[in-house]
Formats: sequence, structure tokens, C-alpha cells
Amino acid sequence: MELKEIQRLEGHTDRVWSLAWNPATGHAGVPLVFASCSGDKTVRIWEQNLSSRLWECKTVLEETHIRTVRSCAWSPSGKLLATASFDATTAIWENVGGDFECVSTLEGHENEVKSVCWNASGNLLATCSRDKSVWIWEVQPGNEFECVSVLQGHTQDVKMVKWHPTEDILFSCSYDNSVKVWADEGDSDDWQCVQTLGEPNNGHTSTVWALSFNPGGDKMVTCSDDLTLKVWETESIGMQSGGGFAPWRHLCTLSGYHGRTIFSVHWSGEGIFASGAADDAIRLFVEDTESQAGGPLYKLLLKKEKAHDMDVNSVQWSPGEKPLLASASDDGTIKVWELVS
Amino acid sequence: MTLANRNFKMVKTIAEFFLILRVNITSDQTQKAFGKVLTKLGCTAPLVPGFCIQKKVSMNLSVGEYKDEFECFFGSVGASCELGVMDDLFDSSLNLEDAHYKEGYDEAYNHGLIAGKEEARQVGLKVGFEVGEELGFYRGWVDIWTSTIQVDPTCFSPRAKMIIAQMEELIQKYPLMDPENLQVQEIMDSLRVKFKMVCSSMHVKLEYNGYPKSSTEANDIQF
Repeated sequence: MELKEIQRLEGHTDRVWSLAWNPATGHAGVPLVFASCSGDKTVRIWEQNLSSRLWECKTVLEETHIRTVRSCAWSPSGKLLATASFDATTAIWENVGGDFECVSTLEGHENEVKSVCWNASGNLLATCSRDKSVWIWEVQPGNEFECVSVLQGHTQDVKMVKWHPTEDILFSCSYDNSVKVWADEGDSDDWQCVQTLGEPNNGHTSTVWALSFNPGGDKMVTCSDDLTLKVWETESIGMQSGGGFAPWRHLCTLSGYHGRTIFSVHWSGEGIFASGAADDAIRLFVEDTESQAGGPLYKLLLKKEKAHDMDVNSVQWSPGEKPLLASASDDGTIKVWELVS
Repeated sequence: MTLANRNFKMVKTIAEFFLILRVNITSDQTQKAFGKVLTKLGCTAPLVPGFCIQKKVSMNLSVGEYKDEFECFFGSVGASCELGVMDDLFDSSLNLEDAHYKEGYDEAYNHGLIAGKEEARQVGLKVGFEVGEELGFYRGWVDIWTSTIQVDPTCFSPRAKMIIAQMEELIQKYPLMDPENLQVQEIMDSLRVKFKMVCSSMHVKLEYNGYPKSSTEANDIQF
């Protein structure tokens, strides 16, 4: 197995913070598209040329955010792109025949917005900020977004929000070392923290930077400044019929693989999860089917040293039958990788 | 033995005084009453080294019940004094320190009570003003929004109207006259969040100036 570099994409003039693949691309003859966001305050849209297989920057979204764009996320339909910025706003861009137009700006956070995520059905959007709060927004007719709930529970900067891949259950991870699970219990608009995965339940001992779900949605991997990856599982997905919540529990901890902060983790449709870390390397992990009882359940598949010249901030698997991996780095570049055997 | 030397000196000056105090009281109160009397004497009297109590029990047949007789000696610590009396002599000097300590403590305590009350009054005035000002700020906005809704019920979204109504309830519920009520902080936090949500819904940026902004607390380094 080898992680082969397909292309190195330049264009951003500052560190690249994050990237997001358009979920509506990569199949049925639609060329793969992803968006990247950067400290240069811009968002770039990259599209694969179907004949050359190479990537080119189709458009640059600029002059909307006045500070770093920290995170971006496509709606499930691929029609809307949400971008979260340190300027305390989240912008919504509509893709009209390849042209992107800013159709809405979500204001409410006190300061830097760190992450944005759409739910599975695309009617809810979550944002989180250094102001320690998580906001849930509902999509209204006419590209209007209204705040449904403000979730206050984290005691520090919230680094990332992520919806469950099928259920309306929200996960947030924070500088306070915890992952919190939020659900709308009973009446609508009554979002509550239903579980906190922290140190007392085998959680992380330092900042939790990112989390990702397996394709089935019954497992979740988290990565942290404590140099470990942790895998969590749940009995049944989502809210049970009785309205009760099936809690998540710690499954295993992968330690000893990373020597620096792990900033990003992403689980592919094929069950391989990738990690991007401050040691400039990308690592891939798979389930260890030969694992002994009580032994580690996941093993290192490969490690790509010097994947970038600087910190790897984000790793993301593409949609489609043969997923590609894209990585974004402090060195200002994005790389697209192919896993070949 | 500087302590002992100092006491002996004092003993000499008051050795001529010898006092027997006799008190007759019913048996169940004797120890208690005597404890009080002695404490009082101990506290108010000037330096009295070699202070001790002796207890004698005798029968008073005419009354038909037991009585305790106490004899209390002051002074009388001459050359003939025994070791036990010497102990009492040191006790007295130790009690002396205690008594002075207690006197000082009481004085400071009473002073602190007065000063603390005054300081608390000032803090109370300040905090009370701040809370009142912030509540008034929200009260004003809720009134304006409510009036606007009465003029044009469609001007805000159903969700915004609901939150405005909830703010109204919270303001009324706020225990203004009961600052020790545990709900105080909870209600204020809830009001702050709801205010932000309404502002966000209306795409306006309103801010209560008195509210401490967390953005000014931290430095600008971002991750």
C-alpha cells in the first residue's frame, strides 16, 4: 500500500485551514469538486478535469470575509457552501451554474467561528466559536437562516461541530478536552447536552480537535492534542423509540503513533481513517481483524512522512467509488492523494 | 524561666491580700454558676497569679438538701506553696495571654462587623445598579418589540416572537428583591442568550455596553 501524490495545488497565499468535498460530485459523470479555505481570507473551489484528471481552481470566493476563513461545509445537495470565519460570521454561498453568490450571512457569535456543519437532511446548520457556544440554525425559505438554539456547555473554545451522518444529533469538541453530544429532546427547539465524553469516561486529556464517523454511524473517531486517537461506539444509532438516548462509550485508544498534535481525522466510506498532524505526516488506520481479545482493534496501515512541509490541518476523503484523499497544510498547499496497492 | 520570675515578683506585691469568697447555691447550678463567676472575675480582675478553686461538700440539714460550698482563694502563694499551686501560677499567666487575645479578637471582630457591613453596602449598590441597568436594557427592548408586534404581527418570525415572549416572562420572573435566590444567574444568562438570538434573527447588532466582552479578555492568537 502506498499513498501516491496525484497533485500539489497552489493558490492560497496563507495557511490552508480546511477543505470540504462536494458530496454531490464524483459520480454519474460529475467531476469531483472541493472547496478549501485559508488564512488569506478566501475560499477556493477546485474541480477535477475529467480528461486530464488534474485539478484546477475554478473560482475564488473573496471580499466577503474580512478575516481568516477557518472552515467550510457543503450542504448535502451540494448546492450551498457554508464558510465560517474568524470575523465572527458564517457566510452561505449558492452555486448558480458554477458561479458562487453569497446569499446569506449568519451573525450571532461573539467572536471567531471555528467550524460549520450541515445535518444529513440539510435543513439544519451548526456553528461553533471561541465564545464557547454552539449555535444551531434552521434553513428558512428564501435562503434565510434562523437561530434555533444556542448551546452553552463547553467551558472553552469549541473547535469543531459535526452532525451524525444520519440522525439529528450534534457532536462538538473543544479546548476543554471534551466531546459533547446534543439532541433535541421532546419539544422542538429544546436542544440539550445528552452526554459529555471527557476524562472521567476514558476521554481525551487535552484539546479535542476533530471527530469523524464511520459509514455505519455507530462508531466515531476523535483526535486530540494528547497525541491519541480514540474510537467510540454506540449500541444503537440515534434516539431510541422510547425517546431515550443510546450513550456512546469508549472502545479503544490509539496511542504511540503520533508525536505531535493531531489536528484532523476522517473516516472513509471504505473504513479507513486518515489522520493529519503537526508532524507534517499523514497516517492511515484500518480495523485489525486479527486483533486478539483485549488487543488494539485498529492498526496503522501506513504513514506518509513529510506529506507536507508544515502542519497538516485537514485530511478529507472524497465521495465516489474510489475515494481520493485531500490534505490541507500550513505550507499553503493542498495535496490530492491516491491510495494504491 | 523568665515567665516564672516575672510572676513571683508580682506575687510578692499582692501576697498580703488574702480573700475567701463563699457562695451557697443549690447543687445542680453550682458548677455552672461558679464557672461563670470565676470567668468573670478572671476576665475583669487585674493580674491575679496563683488563682485556684477548692471544693468542699457539706450537708445542710436544716434545708434538707445538699449544698456545695466553694472556697475561692486569691493570692496566698507564699514560700509554703506546693507544686500544684505553682502550676496554677503559670496557668494564670497563660490565661492572661488568652484573655488579651480574646479581648483583641472581640474588638477586631466588632470593628470588622461594622467595616464589612459598610463595604458590603457599597458592593451591593454597585452590583445592584449593574443588574438593574442590564435588566432595564432588556426590558426596554422587549417593550419596543412587543409594541411593534402589536402594530404589525407579521414583522418578526414566529420563533423570534416566541423568544421575545420568553424574555418578557424571564424579566418578570427575575427575583429583584431576593439577590440570594439561586435563579438569579440562570435567568440573567438565559436573557443574554435570548437577546442574542433575537438580534441574530433580525440581523441587527445590538449590544449591552455594560456586558463584559470575552473578546477583550484574551489575546489575539488564534488556532
